Amino acid sequence: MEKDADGFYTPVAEGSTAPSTEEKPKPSANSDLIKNTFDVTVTLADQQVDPNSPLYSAKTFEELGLHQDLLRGIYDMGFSKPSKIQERALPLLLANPPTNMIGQSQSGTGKTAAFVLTMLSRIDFTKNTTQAVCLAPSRELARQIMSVVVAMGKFTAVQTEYAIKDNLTRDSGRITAHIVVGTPGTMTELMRKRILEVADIKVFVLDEADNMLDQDGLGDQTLRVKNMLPRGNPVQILLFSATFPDHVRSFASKFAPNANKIELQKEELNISGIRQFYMDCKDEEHKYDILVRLYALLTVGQSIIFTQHKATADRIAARMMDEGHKVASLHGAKDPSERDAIIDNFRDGREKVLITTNVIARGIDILQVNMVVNYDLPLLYERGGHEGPGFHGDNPDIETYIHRIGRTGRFGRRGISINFVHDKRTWLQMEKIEKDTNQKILRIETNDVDEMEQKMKDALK
Amino acid sequence: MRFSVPRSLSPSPVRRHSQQPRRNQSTFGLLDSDDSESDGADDSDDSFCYASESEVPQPPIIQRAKLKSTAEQRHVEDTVTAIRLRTRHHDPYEEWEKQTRKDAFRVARKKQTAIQLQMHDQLDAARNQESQRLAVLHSRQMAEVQAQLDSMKLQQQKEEDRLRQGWQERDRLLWKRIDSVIQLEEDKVRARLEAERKIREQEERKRQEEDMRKRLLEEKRLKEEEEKQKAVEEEKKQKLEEKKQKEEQERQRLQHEKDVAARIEAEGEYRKAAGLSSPREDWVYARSTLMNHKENYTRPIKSDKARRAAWGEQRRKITPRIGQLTNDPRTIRETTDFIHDKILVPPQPHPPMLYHGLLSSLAKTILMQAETEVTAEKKAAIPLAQVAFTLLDRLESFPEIFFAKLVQRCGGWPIPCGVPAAKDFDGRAWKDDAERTKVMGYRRSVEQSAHFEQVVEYMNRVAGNMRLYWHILKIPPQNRPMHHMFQLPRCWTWFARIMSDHSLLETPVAAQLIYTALDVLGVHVLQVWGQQWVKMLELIYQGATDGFADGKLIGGTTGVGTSARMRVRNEVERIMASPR
Repeated sequence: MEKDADGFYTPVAEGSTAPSTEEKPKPSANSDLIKNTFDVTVTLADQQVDPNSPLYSAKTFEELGLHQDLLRGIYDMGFSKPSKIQERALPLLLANPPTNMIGQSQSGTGKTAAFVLTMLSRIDFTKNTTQAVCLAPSRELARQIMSVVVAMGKFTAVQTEYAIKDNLTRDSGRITAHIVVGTPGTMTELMRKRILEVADIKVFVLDEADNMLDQDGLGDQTLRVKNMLPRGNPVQILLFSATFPDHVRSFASKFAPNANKIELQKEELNISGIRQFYMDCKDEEHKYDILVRLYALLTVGQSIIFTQHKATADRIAARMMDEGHKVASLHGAKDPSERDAIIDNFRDGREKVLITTNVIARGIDILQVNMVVNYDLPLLYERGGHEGPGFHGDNPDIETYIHRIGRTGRFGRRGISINFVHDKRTWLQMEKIEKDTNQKILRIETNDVDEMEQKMKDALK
Repeated sequence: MRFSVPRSLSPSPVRRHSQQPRRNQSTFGLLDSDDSESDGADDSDDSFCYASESEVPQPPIIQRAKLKSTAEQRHVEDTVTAIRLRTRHHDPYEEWEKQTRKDAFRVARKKQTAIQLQMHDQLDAARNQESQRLAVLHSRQMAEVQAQLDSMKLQQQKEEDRLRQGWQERDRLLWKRIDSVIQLEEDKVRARLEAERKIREQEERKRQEEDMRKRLLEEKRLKEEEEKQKAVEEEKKQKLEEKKQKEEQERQRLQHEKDVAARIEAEGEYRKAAGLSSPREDWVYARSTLMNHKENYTRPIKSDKARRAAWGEQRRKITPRIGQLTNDPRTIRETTDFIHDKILVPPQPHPPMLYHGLLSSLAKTILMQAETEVTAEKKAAIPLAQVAFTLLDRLESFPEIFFAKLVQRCGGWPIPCGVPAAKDFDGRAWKDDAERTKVMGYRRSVEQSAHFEQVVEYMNRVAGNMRLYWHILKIPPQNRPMHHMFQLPRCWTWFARIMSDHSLLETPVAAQLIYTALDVLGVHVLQVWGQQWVKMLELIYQGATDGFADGKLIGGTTGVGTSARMRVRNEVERIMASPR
């Protein structure tokens, strides 16, 4: 295979393109997480077919032969053309007969839209039965997926239902919605009690499979749901996972047999769209001043601030509110519904700064966020029981760092990532991140405001 | 496996007869005289089995009597008689008992029937009563509900009437006010024109009178002189006359020139006041404002360290304020007041240079915020527009600078027009393509491979700014008319211009911007312009479905253009479906 300037693979000769990604040893997590150019690798279930054939690529949504109502929904959502992973995945997902698919990509690469589109396009709207089911590890993600279903299906007659805790009352009859999105536990319950009829299910989607398997119990429940699916008519199983550790890999192949595999080495967020800085501060106290000052120097839409401790988070929140910012603290939430409310408030723009001690902040996928602040750098020991390379809990957690800065610059938008350095230890950590990610992180001196501003503006131009 | 049942033999009357005697009448083994008769009957009974009576075999004759002795016979007869007696014996007591029992039974039955009848009647009556009661109750409740409904309807009607009246009143007042303002303005203009004309006429008349007077005097003088020096004076007079005529001509020519210039200028003013400037003029206006501003304020501020520090300090107070803005009235008011009272027009006024420098920063901050936020979340434009609107209304010279900055960041799109291909507003030729692209509003790309941003990014950015602009236009003016670039009719101008500029229409950006404008203002202006706007929508819809010229479609043929065009179609359909 040869890659042209745009990063596309062009087929060389028939037969020479035997897919070999399965056998390839996985490169180390760090080098794998960031690439300036991103590659989409496709492994077809049918090994005889050339995976790079133009048949398996769509540059526009029109080529996919979708129903006009769906197409309107897609355009109405603001999508103009398929994203990189959608270009390759959609023709495979929508092909007949339906084929299973295992996809590797982060959220925010357009994969949600891809599988929602698949679910919607396979529904027979004349029948009032459940025909597609989607599982997600958390309420937030389920809600997010549902919002995409509703938006994309705006011009169709689709009916939807949540299968999340406390959504359905005990006596609320049978579910007849076309698409049901929820968490594995509640979904199992509904299927077991026959509130949800499985006979007509055609598509089964599993989002963030890696995360589901990390949590005890979720994996079992997921498997239980899968086993309750009808055996007579084939169900198209779509499985998406951010990373592919070995246990997920073997699980995936068993879960979705004979699947087409598609891998996006890195999020479509072109990392060059994110400008990374680190603020060289005098001491811990100085960080507060600089943090506040950032908002005077940069054009900030919404921002997320990550801290290590709740105390720091509270202090920052107080200080920021003093300056007139509207701040939401995620760590203050007592229960899931409060969490939902906080995220919704933030998503709706009623609050513009989100402070969290959450390590990764998965499920916070908000387009308006254009600045992410690592007030404290993510460290390995915070992940609890994680076996980091070298077993030094004090080492920076590169993967989390990437996840965090990935909260901004979604879908090729521009974003800013800010880090703080105030002593030798943090300076060394910063250096290690810079080296491991192989990214230029610009040092900003904090003594002179004008200089600070000039340097950042030049870099952002 | 098969089962079979042996065929049963049908009983023959003969066989039965021969085998066993008839037992249909029990006589306890005794035969009375009647028996012989029955035997005889038997004969004829069996006769149907035979062809004729002769064939019937004779029954065996039983010779019982002969066998018995007389004693025996008597004994038998006695016994028979005893039996007969016994059987025929009537016991009156039994009879009476039986009869009494029967009677008692009948009486009891009659009584029972009577009781039952009574009970049925009672039940029926009770049921009837109950149903009547229920019917009454229902009708009463029905009446109550009906009454309540009627009263509610009445109330609703009243409320509606009141609201309708209020609305009509408001509408009437509004139109009256608008009409009166228009009338006032027209009167003003008319009065001014009238005054000018009068002045001109007066001057003309004065001049003519003067001329006449002069000429008369001259003639008189000439006549007097004629008498003294006829020939010499004649010549001299002629020369003088000629010279005078020449002068007069020259003067008239100059006057005419001056008049024409004044008229063009006056017309230009009217055109501008009516929003009838050409797109190119608008662009030149915005660009020259920007360049003048740069020349007169921005550069001098940046070159002087003290000025620069003061400017930077105030400027940095604006950025976070705009960044914190959320969509609630209090925040919007506070932000606006803070920027107006604390930063731009503090109690101790800034020197003009700093003031103008800050205006430019303010405009830039608002627009950059729109580019950052509105591109991701459409709703973010609303509070920004409200702040911008109030500041445009209150701050002197802000509208000019804001519009100039808008044109700087969006190229010709706010006007809309293309950026001239050959030269800048002042007639200077572009240095290179890059300079022109920059003036078109393209920003540097984040990618190393390309110098300028991709068209999608550019499109979204411009759409974000324009969304803000449309939202500003949507807000009705409060105290006085806004600067002419921020009045609602600009929307009509914009559409009229873009729909007639085919080279613009073909770009995806145009489709996206038409969609943005319709999304923000489409329904709103439908209420303002009514049928005229429907015509415009028709034109747009046609451009998005059949094509505007030779089948060319709005937005062109690229994927980006197609999706933007689809949005335009959706939007037009939505507007037409909206309640009017």
